[in-house]
Amino acid sequence: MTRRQLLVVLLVTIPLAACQRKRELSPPQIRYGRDTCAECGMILSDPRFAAAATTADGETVLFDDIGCLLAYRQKHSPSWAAIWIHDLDTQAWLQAENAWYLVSPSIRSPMGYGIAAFAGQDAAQRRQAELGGDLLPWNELLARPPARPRQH
Amino acid sequence: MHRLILAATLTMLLLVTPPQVRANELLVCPECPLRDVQQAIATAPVGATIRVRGGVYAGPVVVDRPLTLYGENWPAIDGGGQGTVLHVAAPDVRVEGFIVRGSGTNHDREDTGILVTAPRAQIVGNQVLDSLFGIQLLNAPDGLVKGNLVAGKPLPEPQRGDGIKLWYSPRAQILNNHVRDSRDVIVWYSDQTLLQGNVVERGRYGLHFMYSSDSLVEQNVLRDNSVGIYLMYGARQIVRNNVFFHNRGPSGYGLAIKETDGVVTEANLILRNRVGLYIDNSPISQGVINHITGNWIAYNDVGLLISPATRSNRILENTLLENLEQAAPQGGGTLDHLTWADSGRGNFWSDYAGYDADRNGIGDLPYQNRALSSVLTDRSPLLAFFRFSLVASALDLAARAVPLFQPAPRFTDPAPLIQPTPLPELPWSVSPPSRTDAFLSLALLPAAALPFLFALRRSPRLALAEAAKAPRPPAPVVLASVAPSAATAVCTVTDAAVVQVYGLTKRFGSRLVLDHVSFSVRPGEAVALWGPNGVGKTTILRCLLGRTAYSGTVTVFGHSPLQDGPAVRAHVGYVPQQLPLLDLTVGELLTTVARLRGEPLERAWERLGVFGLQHTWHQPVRTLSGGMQQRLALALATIGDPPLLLLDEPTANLDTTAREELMAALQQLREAGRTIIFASHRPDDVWRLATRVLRLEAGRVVAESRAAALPVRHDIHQSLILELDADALQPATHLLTAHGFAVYREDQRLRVLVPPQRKAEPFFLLARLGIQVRDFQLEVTDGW
Repeated sequence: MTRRQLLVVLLVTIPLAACQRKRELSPPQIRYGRDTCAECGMILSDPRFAAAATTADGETVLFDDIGCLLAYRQKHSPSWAAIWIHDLDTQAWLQAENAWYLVSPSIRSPMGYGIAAFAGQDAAQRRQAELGGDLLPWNELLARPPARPRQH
Repeated sequence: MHRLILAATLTMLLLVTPPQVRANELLVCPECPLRDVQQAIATAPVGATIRVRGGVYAGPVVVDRPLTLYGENWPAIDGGGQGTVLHVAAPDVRVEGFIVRGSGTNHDREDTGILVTAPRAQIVGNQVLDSLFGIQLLNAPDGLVKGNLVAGKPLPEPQRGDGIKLWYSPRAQILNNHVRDSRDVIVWYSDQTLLQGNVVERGRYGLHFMYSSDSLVEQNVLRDNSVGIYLMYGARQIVRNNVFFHNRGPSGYGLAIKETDGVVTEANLILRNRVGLYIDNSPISQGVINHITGNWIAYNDVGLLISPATRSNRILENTLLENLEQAAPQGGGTLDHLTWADSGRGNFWSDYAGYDADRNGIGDLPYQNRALSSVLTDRSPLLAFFRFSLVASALDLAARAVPLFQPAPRFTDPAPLIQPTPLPELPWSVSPPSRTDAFLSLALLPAAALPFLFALRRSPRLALAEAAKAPRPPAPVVLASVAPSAATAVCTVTDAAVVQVYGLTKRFGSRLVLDHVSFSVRPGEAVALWGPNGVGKTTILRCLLGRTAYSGTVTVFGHSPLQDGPAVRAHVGYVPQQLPLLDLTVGELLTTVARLRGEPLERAWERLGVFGLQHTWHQPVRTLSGGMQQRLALALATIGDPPLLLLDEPTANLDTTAREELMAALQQLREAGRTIIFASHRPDDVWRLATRVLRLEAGRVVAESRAAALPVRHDIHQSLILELDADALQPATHLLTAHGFAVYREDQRLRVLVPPQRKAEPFFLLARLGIQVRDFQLEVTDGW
């Protein structure tokens, strides 16, 4: 192999390798009972309400309540590449922007914000009929995040 | 004659008629006309009392009218693993004396042991077991929850529910409850709560306040939780005279205060937590002050951890004793904006290096917290790994030697106290006994300690080469019942006996406590003195130790305890029913005993490890849990390897887990050939440990079994032996115990003692929690 050929090979492979190394964004593994919320400091125990967000370079923050995620976002204006929440019924991870949100005082979430997420609108509406409250898509939830429940 | 017949008839009628029920009372029992609690509630008039006798009653039960439900002899309401077990839906209901167990596991529905949804409920003296949520007051103001035991469902901590939960239930009184192995005791949206005298252990947050104000939290013990108390988003909370001990979970705070206004934290003992007191942005409102006064904050990794945004805290007259880091700002910065002294009085710092030339009790130099290594650790917590290392010491030395390197102080206490502040009034000393009682206690304490201390002398090892191991239990019981008058003939005195007792008689005044007791104990035997309280078991042990005079013949290793007490006690390790609560630390006590018995400290340290107590080395003995104290007593008794152990009701004050651990340790000692004589009134302990049993009644040996395999109760004749996965053993033990079974661990198996009609029940209970039974056996014993 001549030097020129070697140079060409390197020029082609190095960017390819760099592309491969780019991290695939995926929901984190939460250690329930051990990990703590980045906003309120409480221990994450309930997967139904746990949420997470990741920056483009892979740094992840965890929240015990979707309300904590919204409060943190308002305070710090972070540049997140992905946000995940859990489906209330199945406890499966969902992309935050694809989910429907029921905001109801009857939902007893860890910090009392009363926000639950659902993969589909039908399931969310069924719960809305049972628990009451407002059904919102992600953008509307971001536009008017619920305040902390009660101040003394 | 007619009168006589009439009187006899009336007497017979009185004898055969069930106990009279007072007006406005209903009686429910398995043999009564009314056998169903729900049915009784449906027929009861408002304000009635329903007395429920011992037995198992099916849940769910809904109380929909003002009533009193009174349990006699622990009736159990069993939810069968579905939904909520007992729902109090009407005001002014009192529930007392029940076992409530077996709720469902659904977090959406919040399946609960006792759910209250109406005002003025009184939930008193119940045992709530195997329930997702223990006791829940939901929109139920003015409730009283008093004297209950709540043991959570045996699930991994994140899957548990709360032990006690208040939700929009103001003015509740939560008094003297014992909550363990649940998630939190949580107070949501409920003002003016009184939490007093509770013990909360092995949970996530011992007491957790969310959006609640104006509460009083006093005389509680919070131990072995992730966090002792977490105050969040409330105001005007008073936290005083509580004990925060060994809360070292993921957060690991003794007391944490987050965005809470007007907190008064005074006279608490905050001991051995990861962080003693954590303050985050509290108070949050302008013009409000939090007070931290008169607390003892000792032996924590970090005494005080305070977020940089925190202002307006007055931290005065506290004792900060031997915390690895006395006080630190979270993430760096300083704490100088807080008030560390007022009216010329600051706090006591055990690492204060100044002096008090004018003897006014105040250091003449300010206390300054400025170690360079600590400042670096504030910025990068991982550097704590190098704490106490040569590098860290060198850094601090360099900083002191060359002021150029010395960091600015993180804070300054201008008037440090020279002496520690008074030890706070603690829950166990809040209601002192009367003077006479106190005097008696003081007099009895050394008396109780005497045999213990005497038994700690160094002993030459006794040759046990000829000792034959006693046969192991599985053979059926062969029991010799004897008439009391023939009791002395029961036991044979043999030459090889370690202990020989013949005609032992003891009187206290005119009362005959021991009446010609005779028995002998061979090397390697584990002999149980079994009988109810007051039959003379402890007195026999005291006679063997030579601690009380007697008539008759007693020899221990050939010596008379009365005439040659020291020679006897040199061969004996004694475990009292309760270790005297000394102010020494475990390390100090162990060191003292090891020196007395001439055992190298390294060996004593290893011994502490065998009993799982090495981590308690710096801990005062009185702060150990009951189980740990008994294990410590056993560790101390084995120092110097005495060949004979005497144990007085070793498991009397222990919960199931602690009892299990202690029994396992004792079994190991028995397997190692140690001779054991133990007093017990618990048939299950006897069954487990003894190779021979002497049954005592009214100071006499009335029966003896040569190969012990006693059933636990008279009505139990079968042992169900379950093989489970290793990680399922502990939760299965917990679950089956909650449902009234006696459960013993045998290596990787559980032995469950089952009455004939309940043989299948353990399988259903385990299946409810998804615990798989890999194999099982059913063993039949002949019974006592």
